[in-house]
Amino acid sequence: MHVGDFVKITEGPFAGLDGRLKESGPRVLIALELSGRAVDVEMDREWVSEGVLESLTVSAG
Amino acid sequence: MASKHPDTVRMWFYGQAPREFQRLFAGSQESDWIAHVPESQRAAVEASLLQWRPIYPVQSLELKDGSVLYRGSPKTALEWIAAHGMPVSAPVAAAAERRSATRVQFECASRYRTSEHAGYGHTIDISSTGIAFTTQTSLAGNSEVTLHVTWPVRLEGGLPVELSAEGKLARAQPAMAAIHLDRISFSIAG
Repeated sequence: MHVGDFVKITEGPFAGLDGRLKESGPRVLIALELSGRAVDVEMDREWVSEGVLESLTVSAG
Repeated sequence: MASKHPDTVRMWFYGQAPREFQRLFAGSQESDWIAHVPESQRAAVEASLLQWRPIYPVQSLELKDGSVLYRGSPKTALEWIAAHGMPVSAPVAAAAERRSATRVQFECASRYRTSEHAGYGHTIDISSTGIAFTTQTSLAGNSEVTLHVTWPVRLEGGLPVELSAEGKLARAQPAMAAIHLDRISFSIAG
């Protein structure tokens, strides 16, 4: 998972949303769009996955 | 609390949140989430946090600097269902019965995945600690299972909700299985 990747949030109130990874580490910074506005959200690394890529692969298969 | 990014929304599970925030929500469960929202982001974020109130409790607390703390308790959703559902009454021999939480009938569409199998079916019963569901094949003991359940309560505006649950297989039969819940989260389905 690298800065710039699109990731899927899997935990917390934003679970299911996709965002762009802005900073990596034990805590990650994700750029989300909420209510039409760009919002940066910081959370534990374990709260996100590379699920966006996974779901695109499944759809393409 | 100072932050490297003053306009950033920060989130934790209760046990990882800063102590000063934990103290403001005494009595929380480890599975609860805490969100700290700077005043500058409140308008954009608040609706996305409070939207979960039909599913589970979300409390808010405004701090002196205008920022707001929110605490959500997703596990309470299971307790609400367990409190209002029809208890499962099938007698089970005490020696074989290791489940302590009250189970209630709970039939919703579900899909599951382990490292070896994936399939569709429906849930059978639920408690605050586990879910039983139908399977298309026998699942192997000790499997780690991810279960997705179409939740029977929708958000305002009719948005469908999905429960995602992870846990270890607690019991398995040819066409059903049950997991002990380790982690749950809710998301908008679709």
